[in-house]
Amino acid sequence: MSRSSEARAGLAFTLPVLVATIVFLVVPTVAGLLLSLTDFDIYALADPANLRFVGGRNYTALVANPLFWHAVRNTLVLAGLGVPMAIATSLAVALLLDSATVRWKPVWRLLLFAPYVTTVVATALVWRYVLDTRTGLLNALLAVFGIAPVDWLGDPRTSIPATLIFIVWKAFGYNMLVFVAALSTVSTELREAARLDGAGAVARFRHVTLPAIGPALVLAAVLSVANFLQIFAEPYVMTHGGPAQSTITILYFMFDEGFTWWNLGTASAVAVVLFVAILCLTAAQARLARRQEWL
Amino acid sequence: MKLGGAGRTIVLAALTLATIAPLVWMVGVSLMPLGSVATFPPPLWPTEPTLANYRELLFYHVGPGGGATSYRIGPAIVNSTLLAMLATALGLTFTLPAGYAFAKLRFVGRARLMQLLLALAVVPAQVAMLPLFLMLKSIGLINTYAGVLLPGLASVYGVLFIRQATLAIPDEMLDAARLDGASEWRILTLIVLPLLRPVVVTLALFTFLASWSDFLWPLIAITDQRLYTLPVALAAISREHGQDVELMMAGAVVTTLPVLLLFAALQRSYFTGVLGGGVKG
Amino acid sequence: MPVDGRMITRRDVFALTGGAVAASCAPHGGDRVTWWALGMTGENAPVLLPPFTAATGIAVDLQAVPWTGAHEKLLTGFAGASLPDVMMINTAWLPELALLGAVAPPPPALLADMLAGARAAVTIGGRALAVPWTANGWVQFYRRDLIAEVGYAAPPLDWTAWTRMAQAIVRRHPDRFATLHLLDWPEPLFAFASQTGEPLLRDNLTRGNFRTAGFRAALAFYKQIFDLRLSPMVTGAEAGDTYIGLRRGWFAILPSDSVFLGDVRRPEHAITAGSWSAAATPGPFGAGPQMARGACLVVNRAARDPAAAWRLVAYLAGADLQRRMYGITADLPTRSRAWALLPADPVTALFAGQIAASVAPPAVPEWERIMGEVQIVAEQLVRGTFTVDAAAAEMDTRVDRILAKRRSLLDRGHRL
Repeated sequence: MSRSSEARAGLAFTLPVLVATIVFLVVPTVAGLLLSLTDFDIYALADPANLRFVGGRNYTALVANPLFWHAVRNTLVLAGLGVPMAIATSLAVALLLDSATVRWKPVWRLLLFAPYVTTVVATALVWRYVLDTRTGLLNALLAVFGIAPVDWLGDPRTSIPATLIFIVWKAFGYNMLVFVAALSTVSTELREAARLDGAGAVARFRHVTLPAIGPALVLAAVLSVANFLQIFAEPYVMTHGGPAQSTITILYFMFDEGFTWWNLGTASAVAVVLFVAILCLTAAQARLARRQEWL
Repeated sequence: MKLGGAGRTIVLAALTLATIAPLVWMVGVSLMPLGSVATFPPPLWPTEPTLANYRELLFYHVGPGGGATSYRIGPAIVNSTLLAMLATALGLTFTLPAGYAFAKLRFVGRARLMQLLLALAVVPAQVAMLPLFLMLKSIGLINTYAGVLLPGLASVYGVLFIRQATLAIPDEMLDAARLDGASEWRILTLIVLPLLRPVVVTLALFTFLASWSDFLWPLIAITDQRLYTLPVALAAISREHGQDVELMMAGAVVTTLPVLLLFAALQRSYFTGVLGGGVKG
Repeated sequence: MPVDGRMITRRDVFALTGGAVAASCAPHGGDRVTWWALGMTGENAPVLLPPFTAATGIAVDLQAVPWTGAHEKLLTGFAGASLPDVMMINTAWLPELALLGAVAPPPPALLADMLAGARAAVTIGGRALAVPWTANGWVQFYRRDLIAEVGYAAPPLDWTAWTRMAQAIVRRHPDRFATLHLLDWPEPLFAFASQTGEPLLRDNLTRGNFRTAGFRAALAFYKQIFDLRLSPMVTGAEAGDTYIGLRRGWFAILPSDSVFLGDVRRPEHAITAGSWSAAATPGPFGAGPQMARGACLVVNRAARDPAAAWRLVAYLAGADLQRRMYGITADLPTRSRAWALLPADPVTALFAGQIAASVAPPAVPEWERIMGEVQIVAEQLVRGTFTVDAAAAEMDTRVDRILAKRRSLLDRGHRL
């Protein structure tokens, strides 16, 4: 009797989410796959009779499109540089916070987490002016140390590092908290024992701390990569994909093709490619997580 | 390099200062008169603070030809607030029961559905956006609150987060309530939710923040300026008035301050929720 | 803040606010017309509407759309079936909207007394599909004192002499520039290219024609401006406030259009009257014709109340209102009678001459994208990624790819 009321409640409670997920996630994703097999563009928007099924032609056209590869390259560079930067920053700050002798910890924790809670569009704008070549805060700071002004957002060679400085600034707070939580699980007895054995700080880190938080680190890294592959708002607001298309990411390319020029066939193909890449990544993450009994 | 407590505190203080410097500068510049920042080195704090930028942003202002116009930031604030509150309310309504059910209720197909949800957690939202636009257009929901809110209801991470936290509740407590004849709904609302308070606050804050800061989907789904949310309105203004730095900073302050304050007010619950139970990883 | 030497008082603001609010309140059972207007024109248009509403009882719902992103907004509006009744659009976008079937042809009476070039620009496939509203050109605004410093009364109009003058300016002030050519604006390059007399597209507008000697000469001149450090290598976002830059003398010449005339009236952008003037864009052998530029008013084919929409268009495109617009935003009119009402000054006369001699841009829906793509390659040319010949070839390749769909549809026998 209670078993069936439990079962009824179970289905009733989960139904809304399932329906929403199917209607607003599954159906459109499948539709996106189908759309990527057509030549939907402005001509089809004008007259649906212009729409044609073209099979894999969008994908071959993508492979032949240098701008697509440019976007892929930019995205991979962003992820390749950004993930280590972000994880290292979060870890370093977490290590600093993870000490019984630090004063006013809640204050630092709150303020260091603040950037994460801000709105990307607003802070991207702020950083656009911070990174301004002539009148920006960063170059003013560098001038104090006698360093010549850097054309952060105007030089294609520095535009990606500049964007990364902003992205890491904004995002490091979340993983900082995650690592603080992970570090708090490192047994203090073990650390004390290692210290009594004469191990220095670095050795203690390598042999006691790192193995304990290793899984959390890897998990955070994999999630970070997935996030970095989906960067869009930052180039859209800070650099408009420039200079010289040096900050065009995969998602930016997709948005441009899809919502600026209405080549929905091409844009859907890009979306599917991105989907597959993230699918592989998250499968890796799931396998790692399972090992941690997180699931 | 071994750092004592005082040393670490100093380093942290410096780091914190560097981290919040852009935000502090943002507030400072927003209080400066137009044109102040176009010098090198840029001013750090206004010598004569003025609210002129906020006035121009929020109220009707007069253009050079005498035409009165408005940046419509006021309506954008209202839209963002309403949408975020609705998204949070709806999101909690959808995910809380589901998270509890997946954790504690036994029903047919629970494992299967769980696997399905986990698989779907993988799908990035952008893949669905283009067809979703066409779908919503065909039923006339483009340019409406509903059009902006509906896709956000499929939040798998919220369900997993609640489930994770609910697993920690001892089964005996719930079975005892069931023996007393309580319905699952009463158990959920009267026993489980109070226990999960920090987690619920965390999820609510997360959902509010995500909705407030959402950019790509509102950019696509709303074409009427009166329905713009703050990020979209700010991005639109920045494309045309990008050189009015002080004005843009005022807009940035208006966009970031509410959530920052909300977060500061609820921080104890929030940190407990993230650090204590159910860290997503 | 002072305008015309008089402070804007709070009373003015309330009066205008009240007027604007009244204008946007729907009268009982009256009609409403939605209108999107672009840029500064849109921001200043509310003051034009109360007389219309008072006279006709039709309320106008105006949305000011910034120029950047306006094209996307129009297409997204069409795709989402949320376009307004009346739209102010860049005339170059008309072929695209015509292809989409989004616009309704105007009653012929509204096209009377239009400048010939303006009327030709809105005629697609033999039918006029919009009412020309503002006309524009592309000129060089310059600081007379900075030019006079190196011995010129006005910038020369042929490329060789112009380069000599610019080099003289840079020699005199090595920490400044002679001009500002923004790397993400296609207008300067196309202003040079349109004077070479070669068409920019060939084969019935289905392929790029950028490898001609004339266009390559324009590319070489464009590249040389940066090679000789006559202009900084910046995009619009980095350049900051261009009017402050001109006022401070960071550069002596600012290529722009009539938007400049409206913008310098803002107190923050004011440049001392008499210290600046305008000249035509230099060409290979003296100034030549420019591509026609301007904005027009279109009515949505799916408008709820087309009659009301056309009444608004008729009101806005009237000669008197165009004259009034010029007074507010310095937008130049398209009706001959309105031109007769304009104050005579050399800058306006320069624009008038340009508008009269202008040629229509290629009428393909992809033109906006083509201009953007060509400029992207031009930016890479300037930054050294391509040589002039390689850049021209790359432009042809990319434009051919953009026009592929059009080519295939034409080959299949569609009429476009």
